[in-house]
Amino acid sequence: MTTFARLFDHRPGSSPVHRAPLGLKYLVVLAVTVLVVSWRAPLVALAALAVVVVLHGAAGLIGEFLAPLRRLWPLLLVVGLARWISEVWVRPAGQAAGPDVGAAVLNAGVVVVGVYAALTAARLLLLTTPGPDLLDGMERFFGLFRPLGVHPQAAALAVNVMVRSIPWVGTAVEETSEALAARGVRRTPQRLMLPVLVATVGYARATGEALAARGLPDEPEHRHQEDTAP
Amino acid sequence: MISDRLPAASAGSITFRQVGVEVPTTSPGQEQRPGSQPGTVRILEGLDLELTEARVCVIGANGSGKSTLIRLLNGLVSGSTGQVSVHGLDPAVQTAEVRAQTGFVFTNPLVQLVMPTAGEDVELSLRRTHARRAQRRSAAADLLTEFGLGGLADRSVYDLSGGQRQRLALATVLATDPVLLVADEPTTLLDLAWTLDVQQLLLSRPGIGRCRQLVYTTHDLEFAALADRCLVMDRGRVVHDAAGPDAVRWYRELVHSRRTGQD
Repeated sequence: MTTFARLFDHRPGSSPVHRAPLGLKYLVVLAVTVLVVSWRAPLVALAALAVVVVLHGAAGLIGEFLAPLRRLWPLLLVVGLARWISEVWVRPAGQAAGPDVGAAVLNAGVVVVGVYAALTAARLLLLTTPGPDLLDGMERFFGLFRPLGVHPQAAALAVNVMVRSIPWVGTAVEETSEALAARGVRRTPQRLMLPVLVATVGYARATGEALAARGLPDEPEHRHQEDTAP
Repeated sequence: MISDRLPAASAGSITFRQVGVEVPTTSPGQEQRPGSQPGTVRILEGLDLELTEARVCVIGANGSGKSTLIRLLNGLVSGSTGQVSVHGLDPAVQTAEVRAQTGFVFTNPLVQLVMPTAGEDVELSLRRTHARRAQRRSAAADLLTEFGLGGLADRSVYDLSGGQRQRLALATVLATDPVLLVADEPTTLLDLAWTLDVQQLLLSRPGIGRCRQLVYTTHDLEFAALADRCLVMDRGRVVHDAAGPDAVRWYRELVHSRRTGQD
């Protein structure tokens, strides 16, 4: 398996960030994300990024801050380009015509920095929190919605599998690229898309089947039999 | 020989009564067997069995229905006709109860391991019986040690070898102490040493804890020969049913006779 698969794995440690309550970590991720989405200014994006850098340092994981760049730069490039194009060519009705290229580049940069700050903040949460603690936290959170018919364990497992599938999809992209290269075929997004999609659907089905086979999510009456036993 | 070390175990009972499985065809040109509904293809038909042996093996060619048969045992597949009973429970109706006492090992352990590290995945299995995290962590550590994976609790599942992953998948399944253990080609992806290791683990399980019965599929005929009873599947039907060595001998003759055109 590849390094992509390890990108979101827990890094054990005893730093203040590792020991911080899960709820607080979620709030920081939420605050960073809401800030950079709702207030698109260069200073705000840089400040959010600085906070995330400091938190990586406090966690003893400063070397991890730039690690996602190596794999995710195409995604950030697409985000930046999309923003730049929308600034230059897709102007709201009534706005002065003519592209302001310099301002568009700055705005695209702000979006890219903001997205990276939010992404690395979320990743830091995953790096500093053991998987079972994440599951427990999500289960407690989704428990609030039980009156609405939400099955807390099922919802928590769904989010967990979704997070786990991100590196898996990355690995599928790498393996498909290698398979294309081995056949002497040049890698293009169009050639990658279908095999990766098929592999991802297969993975989702197999994972769902495996979870069901393990009796997960389980029915409440089957839980904690040992704890309630006399 | 592995079989020399197998403990005697009193098995439960699995019954199939006229069980058939049909699924919708996905391609219009797919061969339709006589008697199946239009637009469907019959995967299994006429299964009428009572399995009481501790170790039951299912062999046959790819597409013969082996995996479908064992998926009936925990409700991953439901019969279109007939009735299945697993230790007194109907998997199609009492699915949660059946799954609570059935452990299922897949060919590829990576689809089965859904947590980042080995220890965390065992902990996931223990959530049903251990409410507190500290309890789960301690029980998971003990279980990993029991399965020879003691130093690997914090290791990413992607950093384990294929054999270690399959051993871990087995540990996550056995963490729930299942009454019935089902394994779908559990050694297909393993090298010889790990194959023998996983075979030993599986075959020795009936009689330990709550486990009373093991049902597995395999293409490894030496592994199949170690079963107390072996079913040979062909085109959705059980075409031979005997003790492991006899069934394997019969299956070898069938394959060779077909290859030489003598059938």
